[in-house]
Order: sequence, then structure tokens, then C-alpha cells
Amino acid sequence: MLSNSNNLSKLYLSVIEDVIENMRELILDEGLEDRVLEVLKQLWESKVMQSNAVDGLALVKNTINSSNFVLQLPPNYGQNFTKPTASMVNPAGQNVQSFTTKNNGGTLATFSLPPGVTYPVQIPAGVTLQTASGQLYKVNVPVMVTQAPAGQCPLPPSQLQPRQRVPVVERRDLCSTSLQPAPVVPSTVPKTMAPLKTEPFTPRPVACPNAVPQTTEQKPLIPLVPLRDEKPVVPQPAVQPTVQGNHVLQSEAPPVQAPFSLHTQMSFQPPYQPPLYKSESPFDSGHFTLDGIDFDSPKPIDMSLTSASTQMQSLQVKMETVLPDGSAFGASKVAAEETVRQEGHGGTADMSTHLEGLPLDASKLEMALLKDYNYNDALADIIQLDGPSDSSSDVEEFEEEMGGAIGENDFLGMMTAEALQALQEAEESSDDGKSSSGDDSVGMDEVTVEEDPLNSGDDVSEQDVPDLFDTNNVIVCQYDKIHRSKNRWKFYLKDGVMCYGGKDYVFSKAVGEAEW
Amino acid sequence: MAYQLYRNTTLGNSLQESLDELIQTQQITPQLALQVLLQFDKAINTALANRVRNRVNFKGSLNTYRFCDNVWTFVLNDVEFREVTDLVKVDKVKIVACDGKRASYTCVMILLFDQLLDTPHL
Repeated sequence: MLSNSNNLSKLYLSVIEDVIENMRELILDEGLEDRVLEVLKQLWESKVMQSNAVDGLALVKNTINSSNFVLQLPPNYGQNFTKPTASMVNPAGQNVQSFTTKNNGGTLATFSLPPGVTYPVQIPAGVTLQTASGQLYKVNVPVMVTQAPAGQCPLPPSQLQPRQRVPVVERRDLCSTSLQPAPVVPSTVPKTMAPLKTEPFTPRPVACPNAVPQTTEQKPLIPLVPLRDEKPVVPQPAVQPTVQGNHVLQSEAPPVQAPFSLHTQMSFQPPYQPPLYKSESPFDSGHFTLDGIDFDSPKPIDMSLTSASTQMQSLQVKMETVLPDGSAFGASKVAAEETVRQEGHGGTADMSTHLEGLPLDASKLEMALLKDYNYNDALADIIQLDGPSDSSSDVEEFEEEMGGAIGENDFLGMMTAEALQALQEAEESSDDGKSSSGDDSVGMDEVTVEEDPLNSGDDVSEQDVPDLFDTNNVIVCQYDKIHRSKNRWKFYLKDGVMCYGGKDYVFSKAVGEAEW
Repeated sequence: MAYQLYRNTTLGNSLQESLDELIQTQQITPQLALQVLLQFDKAINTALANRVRNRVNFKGSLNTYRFCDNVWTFVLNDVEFREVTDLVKVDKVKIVACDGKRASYTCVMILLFDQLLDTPHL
């Protein structure tokens, strides 16, 4: 496909040239500088080359027939040649080229291109250059020989030492395109060997030698790196705006993220706040009754309130672990808030009975229980509890069985050993009596769980459609005829540009068959 | 008026990206960028018609087909592209084909629709 790639690159170049030329007048009419066109052209070409869609983008700019380039060799290859001739395989299709080599020193070998071979010259990997004296130079890495401005001096060997070892000794696993950095970096009077993609291209070959920018001179100094690393080096002027843009974007990102984090944090706080606040409110009022008992001392209660609420929550966690199948009041699995409310609600009547049974010297405990009662009451006003979590019947059963024992869902401000034991007893006894209600609650959960997958199956999967049409392998063309016979389709296409496997192809005619 | 079909190619996309960069740096106006794209349309259509002379065969299985506004869109699976020299296999490929016969009329209509609906055709 080398010929095709060459044709393709020529085609692309010609298109670019046509567009730029046609735009020149319009640009001048607009009053803009010609420089804008050059910038556009450079941007465009660099992007096309970066895309790697065209293999061997041999942008033939120079048509100078005879030219010399210096192949800089590592010191251990420094041998004196007296005008040997080298043959190499020219990937452009000419099998044997004769090169005359001169040796300007121990580390330089000069090759000259014969007439008919124009720059840039691709030397793919594995090519062996042979001099007339029989010396072989094997190119391990694809090399592109391009033309450099006149007046460039060969770089001193000291500067090239780090790289001299590279071309022969190292073997780089680079991609097979010839858009690779040259392993050897010559720079002599007219010619330099340089990475192709870093060289800007000039439109008119005749005027080239002096027109090629000085950046080629610096290219030999660029250490050999894989293709991707060099990308940020080359289009620096073009990259900077985008880099700035990226920076702008990045700077915008954290502020955007911050509110979200704050929001998420905030969202978690409220569920845990109400127990504290709501429980305090009844006490703030200062007076409430519980089964005919008046309690009118908010102050000492405030001290124990916060501790009571936190202990309630800790107790809730304990109770949840102790009662994994849910409480008699159908504690839901969703939110701690709901469980707190449900269990608290379930504990109200229990507390009433418990209060009657407890000695009155445990004032703190009573206050905590009362707080719990009011807290649960307040919560119950807000939340509507469904059948399984309805605690009325459960309370009655509790009273019958427990005889005043603490309900399993009670939240006690002060946990004593006795209360814990009572809790455990209540749990054991409640399991027998509340199995039915527990099963109902579990059953409800199961039903809801089953319904979701069932309902979700009704949805038509629309995701396949956008994914189906989102592909990198695209052919853009015109059709002459599209024929179908039952489920056999035949396509007669023309003037198409194809991109598949990351590479570009073109065709003037395409014929295809497919079965649907 | 030439098809804007070829703007969604490597060449066309790289041109649009370059133009976007120049617009962002305010070196050119969006109107000028549009003119450049129109010139590109002409150039690529001419180049494909005159400078390309090769033939490709392909075979695969048709996944979907669509014909709307005189534009065929196919999605093929497990396709083999055969040129004289080599063979390339692709698991999925999308083909977008405009009418090759009534090019000027059809593309004008498509352009008008696009401007009315403010939607790119591709």
C-alpha cells in the first residue's frame, strides 16, 4: 500500500494547496494578512500528520535532483572511506539507488542522492546501506531524509554522542510508519536528516533550500523519543492557546466540583440533625404530659439530651445488628432516619409501660424515655407509617408478653445492664410473636424488589442505536446505485474516502455486497 | 455547490479543528472559516473526481440501512475490503453515501434543510 499511501498523501497535499490558494484572494479581500493562511496551513498539515491516518506522509516539497546528505555514524563506525558508493532501497519504488559517500571525518559519511530521487527520501527500518568498499550500515529505525537550509554546519560530534549510539545499537519498537524520528542526525551543508513530522513544508520546491525554517537545525538535538512524545514539541504556537484553554478549563473544574462536594456533605447532615433538634423542641416548650404524669423540668434534661440522642443512635445501630430481619415495627432498610422514626414510634407505648414499672429514682432514664416519647411522637406526626410498621397492635402484644419489659425498638438514653438484658429478652420473645408481621414486611420488600427488574425489562433498549452508529470506521462517498434483492444488497459507490483501522483510503469506485 | 459530505473525514476534521483554533484566537472570523470550508468542499470533490483512479471491493453483512433525504446510511459488520494489493478486515463500518447522479441539486436541498433546521447533515 505504499504507492497508495504516497498517492493519498499527494492527494491530500494537493487539496490543501488548492484550498489555501483559493482562499488567498478572499483573505486579502478581508484585509487579513497572508500569514494567517500560512498558520492555517501549518495547523492543518500538522493535524493530518498527527492523526497518522496516512502512512508515510511523504510530502514531496523539494524537487532538487542532486543533493547530498550526511549520514552521521557513531564513533565505533568511524572508518575512512574514500568516495564509496552505497546502494539503498528507495521505498518510493526505485529499487536500487546509487549513493556516493564521502567521509569528512571519522564519524561522518556523506551520501549523495542520484538524480531523479527527490527529497524527502524515506528509508524504512531494516534497510542496509552498503558502500562500495563493502561496509554495511543497517538502519534499524525508519529514517526520513529531508532537506535543510543551506549554510548549516555539521553538528560537532560531542553534541551528537548521546544519539550516536542510538541508530545502530538500539532497536526501537515504534510503529511501522515512517513518521519516526531519525536515529542519526546529520546536518551538513544542504541537507539534514530529521524527523519528518517536525518539518514544515513549503509550497514551492525551487525556493526551498533557503526557505526551510531553521527549526530543522534544532531537530537533531531533539533526543529520540517515541512519536507521541514529540507531538507537544512541534506545534507549540498552536498548542499554547489550547493549553491555556485547558488550564482555564481545569481551573474551572475545581470550583464546579467544590459545590458538589459541599452539597453532598450537606445532604448527609440533615438526616442526622432532626433527632437532636426535634427532640429538643418538646422540651423547649417546657411542659408535656405522659399518661397523666407531668414533667416540667427542661433544664436538667438538656444536659442529657444530646448524649441521649447520640446514645439512641448508637443503640439503634446495635439493635439493627441484633435484629437483622427488621423490628416488629417493620424497620425499613433504606434510611437511618426512617428506622429511627419507626423504632422510636414503636417504643412510645413501651416506654409508657416501662415507666410505670421502673423505679422513679432513675430520673435521667425517665427523662430520656420521655424525650424519646416526644421525639417519636413528633416524628410520627410527620411520617405516615404503613401497615407493617403500624405499632398499635404490636404494642398490645408487647404488653401482654413482656409485662412491662422494654420493647425491642426502644431507644434508651442510658443503657444499663438490666436494660440490655431486658432488650435481649424482648428480642427473643418478639421474634416469635412478630414473625408474621416481619414476614409481611419482608414480603413487601421482596415484592418491590421483584417488580423493579420486571418493569425494567419493558424498556426498549435504546442504547444500541447510538452505539451502533458511533464508530470510527467510516466511509464517506457517493452512490451510483443501491440494489436489493430480498435480503441481498449490492452497493455501487464512487468517489469515496474511507477511514478504517485508523488509516485513510480513497477510491474512485467501490462495489460491495452484503446480506442483511 | 459541492457536497459537504467530506467534512467528516480526517482531512475535513483537521481543517475544522484548525479553523476553530484560529477562531478562538480571533485570527479569523467565523464567516471566513465558513468560506474556507466551502472551498474545501469544492477542492475535495474535484480532487476525488479527477485525481483518484482506483477500485475497491468489499463484502460483509448488513446490520442496518437507512435512506433519508436521498442519503443512504449503512452499518456493516465483518467487512472485508479488497483492493488490488491487499485485504483489510473490519468488524464494523459505517457508510454514508450521497446521490452521485444528481449531486448539485441534492446537495443544495440538503444544505437548505440544514440551514432551516440548523442541524448538520452528518
